[in-house]
Amino acid sequence: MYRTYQACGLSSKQLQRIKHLKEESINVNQEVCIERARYLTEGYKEHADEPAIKKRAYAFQNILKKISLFIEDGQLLAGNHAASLRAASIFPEYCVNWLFEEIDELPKRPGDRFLVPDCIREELLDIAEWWKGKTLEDRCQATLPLQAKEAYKMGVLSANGNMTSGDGHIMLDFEALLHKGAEGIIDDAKTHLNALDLSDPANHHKRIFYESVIIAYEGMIAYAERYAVLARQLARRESDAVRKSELLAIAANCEHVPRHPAKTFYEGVQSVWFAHLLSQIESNGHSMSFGRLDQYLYPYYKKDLAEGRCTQSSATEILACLWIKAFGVVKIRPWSHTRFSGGDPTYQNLTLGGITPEGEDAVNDLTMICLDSVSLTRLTQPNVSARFNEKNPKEYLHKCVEVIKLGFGMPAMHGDHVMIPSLMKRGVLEKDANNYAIVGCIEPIIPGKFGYRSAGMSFTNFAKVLEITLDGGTDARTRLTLLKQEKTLADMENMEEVRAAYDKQMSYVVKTRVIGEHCIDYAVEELVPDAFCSGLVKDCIARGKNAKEGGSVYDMVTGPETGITNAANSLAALQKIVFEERRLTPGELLTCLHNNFEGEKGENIRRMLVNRAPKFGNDDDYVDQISSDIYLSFMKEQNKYPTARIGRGPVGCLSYPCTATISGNVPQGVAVGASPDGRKAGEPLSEGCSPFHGTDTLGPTAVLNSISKMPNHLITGGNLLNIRLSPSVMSTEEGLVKVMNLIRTFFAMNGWHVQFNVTSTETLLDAKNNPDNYKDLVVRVAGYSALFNDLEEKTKDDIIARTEHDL
Amino acid sequence: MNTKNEGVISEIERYAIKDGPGIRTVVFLKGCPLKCRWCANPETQKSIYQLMYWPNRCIACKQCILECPNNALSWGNPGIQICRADCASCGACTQICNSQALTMAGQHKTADEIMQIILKDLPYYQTSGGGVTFSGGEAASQGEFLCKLAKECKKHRISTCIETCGYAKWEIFCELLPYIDYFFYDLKIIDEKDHMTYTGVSNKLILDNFSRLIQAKADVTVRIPVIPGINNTQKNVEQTIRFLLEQAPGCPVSLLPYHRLGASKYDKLDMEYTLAELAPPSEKEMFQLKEQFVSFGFPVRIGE
Repeated sequence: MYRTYQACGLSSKQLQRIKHLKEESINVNQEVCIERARYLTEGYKEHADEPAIKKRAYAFQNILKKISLFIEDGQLLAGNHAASLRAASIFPEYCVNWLFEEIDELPKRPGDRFLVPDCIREELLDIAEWWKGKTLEDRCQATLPLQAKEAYKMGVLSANGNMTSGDGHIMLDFEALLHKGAEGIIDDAKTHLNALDLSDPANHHKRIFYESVIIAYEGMIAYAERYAVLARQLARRESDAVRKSELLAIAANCEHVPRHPAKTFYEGVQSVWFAHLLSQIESNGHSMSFGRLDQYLYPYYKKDLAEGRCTQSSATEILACLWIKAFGVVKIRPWSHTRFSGGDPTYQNLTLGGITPEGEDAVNDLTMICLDSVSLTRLTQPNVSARFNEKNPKEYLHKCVEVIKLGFGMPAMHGDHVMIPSLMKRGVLEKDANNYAIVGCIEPIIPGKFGYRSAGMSFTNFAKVLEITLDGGTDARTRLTLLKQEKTLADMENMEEVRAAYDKQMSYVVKTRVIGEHCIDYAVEELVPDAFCSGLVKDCIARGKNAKEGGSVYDMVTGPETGITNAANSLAALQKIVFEERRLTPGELLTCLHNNFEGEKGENIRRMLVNRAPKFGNDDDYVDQISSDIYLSFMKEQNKYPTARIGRGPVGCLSYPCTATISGNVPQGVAVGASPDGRKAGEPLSEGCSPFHGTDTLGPTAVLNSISKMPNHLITGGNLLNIRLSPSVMSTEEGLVKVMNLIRTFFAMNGWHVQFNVTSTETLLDAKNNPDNYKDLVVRVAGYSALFNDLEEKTKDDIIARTEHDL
Repeated sequence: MNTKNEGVISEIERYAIKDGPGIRTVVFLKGCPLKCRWCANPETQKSIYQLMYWPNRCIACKQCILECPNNALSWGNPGIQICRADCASCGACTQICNSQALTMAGQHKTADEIMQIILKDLPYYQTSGGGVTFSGGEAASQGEFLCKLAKECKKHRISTCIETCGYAKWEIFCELLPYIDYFFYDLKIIDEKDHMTYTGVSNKLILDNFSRLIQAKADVTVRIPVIPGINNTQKNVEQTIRFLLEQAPGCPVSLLPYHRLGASKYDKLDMEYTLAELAPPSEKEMFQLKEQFVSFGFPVRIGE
């Protein structure tokens, strides 16, 4: 239980280690690593006669027995994703077609560049050639009906990432591994295996599954043992006595875990890292998350501290090493998917705080140490989520805000008292709901009890659906038809007609989305089942099923909806300017949209749409109500369709909404023409449920009030809000407390999630030079706040100087 | 006293965090008896509506010129020119300007309308210990309306705060007293002649009201805008300290460093900013000034 916590200073040697490891990781020239692809393919070929799950388990074991090992200079943990630091492994079983097209473009693309060493180029293409026609993507393309394919082409839906980059979005039962060790999991599988009556036809698949689990975990043990040997070899050659003892400690750790239960905090961290890492070697998906590390590792920390085996500073140091390790996991994605996930993110989420399964305050010293350690590393991984509960001590929220102030956008804050009831309403037991953790961006799941792809399903583009509705059902860009309508906007006479047409199109889109997802889900289940991961997901072993065929306790999935704000703002503009005030006829507006606001009056009309119609994010019921309405009607449709695991074991088998659009709002905007909210063709859409850039003019309380009017308790997949604050807001202790109170109030008003962008001086300078990129930057001027872009140059300089002063 | 139902305001700002305790909503009431040369909110000085022009928003559609019933607008360099003598502040041009390049500083609002906006952020006041701050202009220049608003706030148990230059009839402050929790009271210059030079009025009433507020045991924080070369002179600092030692020893003091952030608004109003070349005080100067007040037992904050 948390009492009082004081941040401890780290020694200069400890800080030096963290700095060194971080720099080495950041400065590396990222390249493609062939080893996983090589040994996986070898395994597939050698065991071609086995069923998919067992073949994959053998291939997984083959990778772990052969992949080149290394231990970074100064690192305290062992285990790497590829054969060199921050190299990207290839997952050919998911897709290879992109490799033929993009292999020579990888070092040159606009973002997320990777070198392809000459020595591997030919081998990589040979491997890709072997996989042609056998991959997940190939299967999906072969089985998807035209209806779904056309919807993807039009851009109303996007499921590209699911087909090319895998499933992911899962959180292992790390607690089970810490308590039982890999041997314990093998024993469980063996016990179940031996108890099977093989004359019962239902048990055939179970047998294969248990055998696969055993193969996978034997691979895990072998991998750790190889690291123990390497660490001892390096120690023998090491002349520095301190580093020698560190290497011996790594060796001792790897000899004990993950095979056996962890005895110490340090072993616990190593064991968790192995499992977390291997799940990312086994399967291609992103958003494999750490879950509630401050909960499951706390008993080890507490015991070590009491018995003198560790100190607060050594624990901080080990965790910093863990975060740098997590940063070392790099994903390479086809360009088509990269655009939705710019900056090669892996979304390895870490959840802190909240309450225990029993409902008590869960904040402890390790929670605070986690926050301290991420402020030391300040990397993109892990993606830190802080649960907020009124039972949590003030010091915790204070520390969260202190970390937010550092300006790297973390931790994101999550409100327990919306999320917990929301999960319970979906059928999650109270104890489990209390124990939720965040996967990926903002999606709450139950650690070790949810299946794969609990999030990250298809994107649904609300703005695109509206565009097609206004155009009479046909997409102007591709000339494909979604659902044929009799009228375009030009012939519609009132708002009811517009809404009815839109709802009809959306209903069709939701159904199409589900049809596509079933195809992808079955392809995933048949081609890429994962024995290792399933060994740490309840109740896979008890049920004798892997996570992808219904082994998990719960099966609830979600995928992001983009452009809700644009659709709501557009409908509000239509209602007010066209049908109420009659400043424009429907036909005039439609022509204007088709012309992308060009021509003599175009820009003036665009500004009328921007400035004379209400915009979401300003606490204005007129448009806030529309936003809720269209989301609710989407949910009504979504509720009609179960997932592919229905009737196969898990509780739920349902989908719910989510607004975690990641960077998908940018490419999804490219497909959308000019919209009635005044947005020009191709411009990015709004992000998450946040207001559209530059249209929220009344400050953060108005934004939060608008968001809190949404049906938050039904958005079980998470409602994402980004707020950008100027650092001067937090320059004093009082300012910090005011931000704390802002967060507390937002959550008291049923807010779901909020993350803050605290803008740095560099950003302000950049904003000055590239004003178009900073349309929503609000700064405090003199007794009032203003849009940065509205200020004259000198005033901008003044504010830049002042901000620096404030920091 | 009969109460005025409508007031003229320039703006209502939500999530104000530097205008009193907690998260606050600031109501800027228009009209001020002073004309301080350093004024950062010149659009609030006059109690009438004032047209403002934002050239960087203008797309040169010139619709406003056609729309103006008084022919007060013309096209020149740069952009729209406003003939202030002809402009009746009727707002016809702002109605036609979709770009918000022409905006009207000033709008009539009823107390109810203002309360509706204030109440939107009630939960934030409650968790943060915030509330409402009346500012301006000089909030007390619309005394009756201000009293009505302050009473309404108190009905809802909302904390109230006023930022005042102190230039208003004592009766107004007297009536406000039960309804205002915190007074932020400007003491700009102690020497009467200098005060007249830089603000346009004598400070006699201001100093008298200050003493009366202190005697009435109001919660007063003294605010001093620190204008280099004008009121941070040794003479004025010593006079201020002496005045405060006599009238309100130990009273909290806020030192607000001069800034030029309001300067650009003068152009938009066709007003002249006479302190164009003045540089803000350095951090060191502010600190030294703070130390001077602290040495006489005043708790001092800088910037808020």
